[in-house]
Amino acid sequence: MSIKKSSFKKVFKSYAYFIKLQWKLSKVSILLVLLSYIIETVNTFVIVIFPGFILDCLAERMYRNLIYAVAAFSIWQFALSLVKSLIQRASDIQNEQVKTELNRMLVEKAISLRQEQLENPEIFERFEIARMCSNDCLTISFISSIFSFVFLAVELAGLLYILKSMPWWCIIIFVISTIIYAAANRFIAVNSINAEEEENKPNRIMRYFSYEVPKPPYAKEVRIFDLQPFVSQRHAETLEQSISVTRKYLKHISNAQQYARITDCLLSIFFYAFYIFRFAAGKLTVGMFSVSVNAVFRFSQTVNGIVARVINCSASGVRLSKIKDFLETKSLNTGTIKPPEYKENGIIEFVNVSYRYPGREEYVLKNINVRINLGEKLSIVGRNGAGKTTFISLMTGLYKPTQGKILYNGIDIETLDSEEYARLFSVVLQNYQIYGFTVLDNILLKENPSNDDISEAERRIDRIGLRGTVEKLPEKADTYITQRFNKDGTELSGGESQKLAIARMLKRNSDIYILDEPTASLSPQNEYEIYRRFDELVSGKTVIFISHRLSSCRLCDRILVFDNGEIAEDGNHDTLMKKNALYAEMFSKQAVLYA
Amino acid sequence: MRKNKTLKCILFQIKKSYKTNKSEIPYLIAAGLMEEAQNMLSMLFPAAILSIISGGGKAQKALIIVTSVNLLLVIFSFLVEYASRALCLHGIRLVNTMQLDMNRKTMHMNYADIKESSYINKYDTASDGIWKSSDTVHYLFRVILSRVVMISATLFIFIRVHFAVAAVVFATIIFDYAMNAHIVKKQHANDTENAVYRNRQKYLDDTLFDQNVQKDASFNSANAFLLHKRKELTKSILQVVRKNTMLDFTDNTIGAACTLVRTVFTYLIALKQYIAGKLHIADFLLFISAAQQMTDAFFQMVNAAEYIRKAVNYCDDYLKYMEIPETDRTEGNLEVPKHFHVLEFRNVSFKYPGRSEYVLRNLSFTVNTNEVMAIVGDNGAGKSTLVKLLLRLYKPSSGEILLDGVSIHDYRYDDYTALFAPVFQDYMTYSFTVGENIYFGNTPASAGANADLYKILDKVGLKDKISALPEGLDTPYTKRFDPHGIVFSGGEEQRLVIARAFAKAGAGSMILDEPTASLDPLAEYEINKLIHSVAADDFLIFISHRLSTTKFADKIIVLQNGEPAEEGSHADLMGLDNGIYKTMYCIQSSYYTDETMRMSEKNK
Repeated sequence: MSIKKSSFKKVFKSYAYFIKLQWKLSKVSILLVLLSYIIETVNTFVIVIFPGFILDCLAERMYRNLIYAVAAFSIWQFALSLVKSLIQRASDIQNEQVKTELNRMLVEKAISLRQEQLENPEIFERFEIARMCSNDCLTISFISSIFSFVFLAVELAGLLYILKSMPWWCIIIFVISTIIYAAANRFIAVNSINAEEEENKPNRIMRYFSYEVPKPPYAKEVRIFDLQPFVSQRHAETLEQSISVTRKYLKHISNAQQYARITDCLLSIFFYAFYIFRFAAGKLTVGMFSVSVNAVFRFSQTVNGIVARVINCSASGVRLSKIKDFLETKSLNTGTIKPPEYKENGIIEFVNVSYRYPGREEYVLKNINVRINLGEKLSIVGRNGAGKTTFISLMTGLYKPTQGKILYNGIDIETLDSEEYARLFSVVLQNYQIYGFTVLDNILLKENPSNDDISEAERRIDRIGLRGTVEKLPEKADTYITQRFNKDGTELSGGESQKLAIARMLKRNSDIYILDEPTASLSPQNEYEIYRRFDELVSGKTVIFISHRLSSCRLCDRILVFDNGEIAEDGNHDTLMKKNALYAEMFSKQAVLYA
Repeated sequence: MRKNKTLKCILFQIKKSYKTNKSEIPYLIAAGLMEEAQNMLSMLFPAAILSIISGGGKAQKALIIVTSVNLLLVIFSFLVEYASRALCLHGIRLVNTMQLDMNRKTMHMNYADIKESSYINKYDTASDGIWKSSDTVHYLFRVILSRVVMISATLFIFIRVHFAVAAVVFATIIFDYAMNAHIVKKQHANDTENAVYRNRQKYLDDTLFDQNVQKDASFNSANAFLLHKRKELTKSILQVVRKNTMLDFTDNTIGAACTLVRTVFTYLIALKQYIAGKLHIADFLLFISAAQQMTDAFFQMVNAAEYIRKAVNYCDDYLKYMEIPETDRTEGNLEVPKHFHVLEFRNVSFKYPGRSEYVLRNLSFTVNTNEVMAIVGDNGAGKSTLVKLLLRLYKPSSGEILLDGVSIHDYRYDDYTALFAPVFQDYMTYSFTVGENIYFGNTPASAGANADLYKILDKVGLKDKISALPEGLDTPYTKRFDPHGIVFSGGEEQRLVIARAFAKAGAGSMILDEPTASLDPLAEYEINKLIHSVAADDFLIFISHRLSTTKFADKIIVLQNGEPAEEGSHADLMGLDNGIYKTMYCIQSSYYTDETMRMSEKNK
């Protein structure tokens, strides 16, 4: 059983939280839900009582009353339908706004978290589930479930009032049937959730086979290695797996439904019999007979409804609680001090810094002690997985050291305001992002760029050597890149995207520039050119390169060689070559190929 | 024309349902009829009871009816439930089988078609088409059929009592439906507009909730920018939503008005008949509920018809996709000779479909089975395109590629592609097992074959790594579907992919496209050593922009802007004064020698 007691408790605790959250996001949406339940509840009673009233009118030959009643009923129904559609209209609009607002909240929360936290699978899962909840408008439907629960309870009381003439032992029958309904519904809910869980894996695999493997970028290999028979066979097998899981649970679920139906049937037989005898005994009018029978049937529906809501609430509540968990995640960014201004002879110092990923045993970086003098050109080299990128992530404050301290001009960076501190850096990451917007947007990432901004961006285009490319684009710098946002977009080549990413980084008047191996797909000449040009563009500033092409190291004042999470060597090209250790080996292995 | 489409799609759905599961349609009919029986019993039952008790009949008699009807209802509901359960599984199987067929198609389509910019859209439409037309047989055999039965039954009641009610029910529904169709059309136009916005919204959300983007955004204002764009988009979406919900409101109002007319009219007629003594009090009840049942039945039929009308279009999208020709695979039926000697590019030019500029121009060269050939050139020189042409992923725009004098497109597709074992620059790894990432479906059955595989793994230097895995070759690759999955480092993946090329059974020709791009210098050195030790049976073609990788080739072709600029061995090409190759080689090697370093210092 996947629904546990503790999760029920947690869910009930979070009711207030979500009502508050939704209230903050949109008061109107809550009122709309309330309104719709009020009229629904009234309508239930109208429907239960109306036919009986008509029958009594007929039996008593009060035709005028009957006509009034029909007129009132019809108008009620008409008005109800209009009001409902107005409510629907208003809530559609509200929901759209709430989605936008909630997504904004979630993203802003994500920004406030440390990158390290966001990379934690558990927290990231919360973030993603929160997004799904937000898109499905789960908060409002959750609140709606809570309200409907309340209103169904009111309805139940009303129905019992109508049935008040029943002897006490009838209530026992109601109680028994309620227990049966509750058990059946709970059984169904548990099985549905378990089914969903168990079907999840085969379904995900099927989606992989359907929507990914047959299409680019796999398409090339699929053809040359003739993967179709294999993929189709595996797909078919997975389908059978998924169906057998569904079959199993479907059987459980439909059996439970049958028990509920048998209860329905017995209840119906019993109460019909009961009211037939009362009628025969002259204790009921025709109308009252009809009203009572209707009320009994409505009763079982209401009870079913309540039970279903309770179970749904706890199921969706478990999912929703991820929103709460995410929004309440404590940020590891705790610093508040404004970082000191960049100075030419400033220092970033690692003091005994070690790092391991949360939940992992082994350290990625061990006991790093290094002083980086601002203004120098630094190159970081090492094997794949030696800890280079982690080093950069620590330096820029994305990760928090597991042990040790990082000092910026003598101040522990943990005490600095993280946003301000990050602003010192301009970084092109290994997997830099090109957004589906225009060239200008990609450089500026600004909502409403001023003319100054635009001319600044144009200058960057010239300086990074993108002018030729931009001139060839249909809308020049206003051309959309990729078709992801705009169908008329154009693709850029790897080298061009690279330059665009660098142009973006240049835009900000940052002081420390970091390029993390963004050039893997470029030819050595192109890479060298980009580095050279870059070097000229930011002369006098701190530059940190990470690359496997050691040729670029020769442009640098200082080289840090990482090996197995430690700094193995530190010096310039000449000293490291003389040292004849790892760097010299790597360099000569690359060089020897040209010998 | 249109009629043909409707007929074709409906027949397709019926055929597909029959082929996937013969019992689906009989089950649908049976379930529909049983449901109708339930409806009818529920309609007649209260009136019958009322008629007995108000007619002064015996309570016992009423009791017998109550019991028997309720038992009947339970029995019917058991049967319906049983059928529904089976039908639910049939439905899942049906859509998935269609998706499977579609995937098979996708993997067989011409590569050029799949790379077309409109392709994604075509794929999505076709895939949506499956789901949006999947209930066609359900509506046809379960809903429409059974609702016709109900309408006939209620019509019978009305003909006996007063036909006008049937007429009014019919008229109001038709009117409602006509108005609704008109409104839906308008809404559809809005929806098309909104679909563009929704796609953009999805892109923005995907971007905002992407881990890498969030990392990138730590250093720039991407988040604020994207949120701003999203907010603007919400405004546009809301405008359309407002328009559409206004239309909904109009539609609802018309519907409600029709209901009002129907209700009032039905009651008045019933009352009139009652006063005239033509209706008993129980009949009055029956009459009212019959009117309700008839209305419901009509509505459901109209909805079903509407569903099928739309489903035909969706199904047509799917069928259109399934009819896309597979000319790449079907053209050519010559057998590839067992022994061949020479591969020739003759005046090959190529431009990508829909583009005006040529990627390759007038390329001619030959390569013999005993030679190692290298193709070099800067980014964008056309190296990878050449490989795509050779592998029949694209056809040359002009010129020919010949294998022993016969156009490669004249050979049987499967035979021809079986010859080559490529290692692509943008290789992929799959969330299968480690072993399946190497040999895919061609699982080595015998122990001997397995031993061969380990020999390959030994050669590429992965044997120890894989033997050390808890489940060896059966360890899942990536954590995507299994938390115990394993992920290799860049260098190990590269080796895995090379092992895959070695393991491709019967493929004697290797093509290596930039195999060391993202590796550290030591791993690069290792891989280079490995691939230089490769001795392919037939052709061996290297592609690289790092000339260090290719200098050992017997023949090097230098591509520049899609044109062959130089051709010869390393020594030949180094002998050309001011040659492109020589210049490139000198520049690249200069990064590693001291003299040029000093030169560039001076230039500064």
